[in-house]
Amino acid sequence: MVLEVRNMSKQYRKKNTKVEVLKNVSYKFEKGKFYWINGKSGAGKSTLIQILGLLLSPSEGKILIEDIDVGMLSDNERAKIRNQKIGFVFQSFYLNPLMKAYENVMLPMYINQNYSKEERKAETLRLLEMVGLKDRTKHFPKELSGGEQQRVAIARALANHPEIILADEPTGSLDPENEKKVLTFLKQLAKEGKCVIVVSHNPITKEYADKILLIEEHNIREEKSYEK
Amino acid sequence: MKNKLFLATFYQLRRKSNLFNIFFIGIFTFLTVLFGSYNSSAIHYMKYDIYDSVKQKTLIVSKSQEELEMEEITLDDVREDLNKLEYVTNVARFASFRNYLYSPSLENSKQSGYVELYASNNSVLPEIVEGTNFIEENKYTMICPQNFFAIDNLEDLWYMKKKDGISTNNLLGQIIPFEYKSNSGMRTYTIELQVVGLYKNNKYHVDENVCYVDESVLEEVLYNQYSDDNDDENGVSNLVYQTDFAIQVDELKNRELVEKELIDKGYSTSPMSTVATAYFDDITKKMNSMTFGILSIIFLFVLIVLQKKYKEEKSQYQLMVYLGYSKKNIRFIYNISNIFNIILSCLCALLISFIPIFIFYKILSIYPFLFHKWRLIVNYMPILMIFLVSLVANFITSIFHTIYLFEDENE
Repeated sequence: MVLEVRNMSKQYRKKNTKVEVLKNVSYKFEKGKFYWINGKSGAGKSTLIQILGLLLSPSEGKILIEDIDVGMLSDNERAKIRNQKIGFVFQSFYLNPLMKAYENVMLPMYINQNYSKEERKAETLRLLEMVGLKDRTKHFPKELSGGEQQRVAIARALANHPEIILADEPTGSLDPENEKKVLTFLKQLAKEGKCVIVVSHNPITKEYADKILLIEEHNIREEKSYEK
Repeated sequence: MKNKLFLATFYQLRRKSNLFNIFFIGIFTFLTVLFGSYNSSAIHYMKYDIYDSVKQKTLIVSKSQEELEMEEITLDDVREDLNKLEYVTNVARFASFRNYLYSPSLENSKQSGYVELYASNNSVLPEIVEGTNFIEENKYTMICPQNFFAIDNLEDLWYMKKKDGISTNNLLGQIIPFEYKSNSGMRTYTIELQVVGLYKNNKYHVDENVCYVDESVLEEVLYNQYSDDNDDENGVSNLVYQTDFAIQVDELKNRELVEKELIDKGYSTSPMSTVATAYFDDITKKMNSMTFGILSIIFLFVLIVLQKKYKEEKSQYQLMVYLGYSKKNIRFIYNISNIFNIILSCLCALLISFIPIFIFYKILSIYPFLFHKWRLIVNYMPILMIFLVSLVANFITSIFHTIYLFEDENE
């Protein structure tokens, strides 16, 4: 088990009204599995993924990463976990437009003390080659297609060898061909031992998922997996 | 640390809007440098250079004819008395201390031929660079400036080049005739003066039309000018009533001491010329107010620029949060990137300022008198002030911007 939520709830306050998003959620995410989280709009998918990514604090309950209760950690320690144990992939790619492809991939490595300059460079080139962008390392995001940008984002997410990949609508801006490429790649990462959690409305994600989770009535319900 | 500095600085130059902001603030900063330099140059001239002239070191000392008669002393007695004063280097009758004379041989298409002559002696002459100072055997000698222009209106000098002046190559030893009339205009006189020496021009004070002669020369001119003046009812020449003396002190700082001593001796004194300090004080006050105004505008502008920059870059700072950059890291990058932009703006202003300085000196090499020989004081203090003001603006904005970056939506 790499990531666990335990009796987790999240509420927002709007003026004097309490809005409950998630209530008493408990689930264990394991390595080597591809999780698909879906649900209606406003069900709390994005909130859940932000909590799992340590970007939001739950109102109640615990988040454990490799059995460490992150609620007990300082901001700096949580940031370090986010840097070294979690990789993010976003719908809008979220690349820095002023940085070339290889510079975007290097961005998480800059604050990782485990890399020397040469190691950083070598690893960046390896990751870009892995996602099929060996010849596009010096291109700016505006010079890349949507699919290529998403692959750079995936390479960036893998920069510090995280155990957890959180993808929020990773295929939302892609055409069907690139959607399949990205999902195939994420599936491959799961097979290699990572815990891949994808939030998506796209029904084809079902074909790649090991576990399907539905957010309904402020909680997570595991659905029967897709059988090919 | 190196990586964070790299992120905070290098990439800033890739954003066009940053380059525009840097240049724009740089231009404003440069304008304050221009402003400040004019102010500093004017103040320096008023406080120092303007006083380095014959007129500023000269006092007019008076005792009326009636007082002289009452005390039974003559003008020679007064002269002797004044010569004994400490710090006094030259004593001459005021009426024959200074005059403008015309020489037809010095007149040309650009110069009127008039020269300002001062009564002088060897102890008060400026540095002689060629020839000699006054020689006892011949009183009809003249010491001219190295850069010599025969003009009576100094404004004519502005647009003149150095080569437009009187050629001093063969001037030494030349005898120059001067013509002048009596006060009634009925009689014309000529006096010939031999150029025996050339003096080094004052670096920051206009003396290009000033020559020095022995007092006796100007006395002779004076008597001739009054030769057909109407006598008073007692048949005494008007010249008799001109009892003032002009005395030169060695240094301006001693002028007050000499004045006090003269007053104690019963003389009345007045400076030969006064500097219109009130006028310049007024200019300085206005310029200081305008500088303060510009600084305020720049402060507001920097606030706006930082706010705009933050809006453009907010998503990238958000990305850093996702990628695991700590609050401390992000604040560091945010502040350093802003300070980097501010430093580049100041450097931009510095570089831009070299252009007018270069142009200024280039113009001066052609028209050296265009700016009255004012010393150019380039004042870079505004750059430092703007840098500090911008740091304050950054401090204010960083408090708000980095709070919003880390705002947790939880209560």
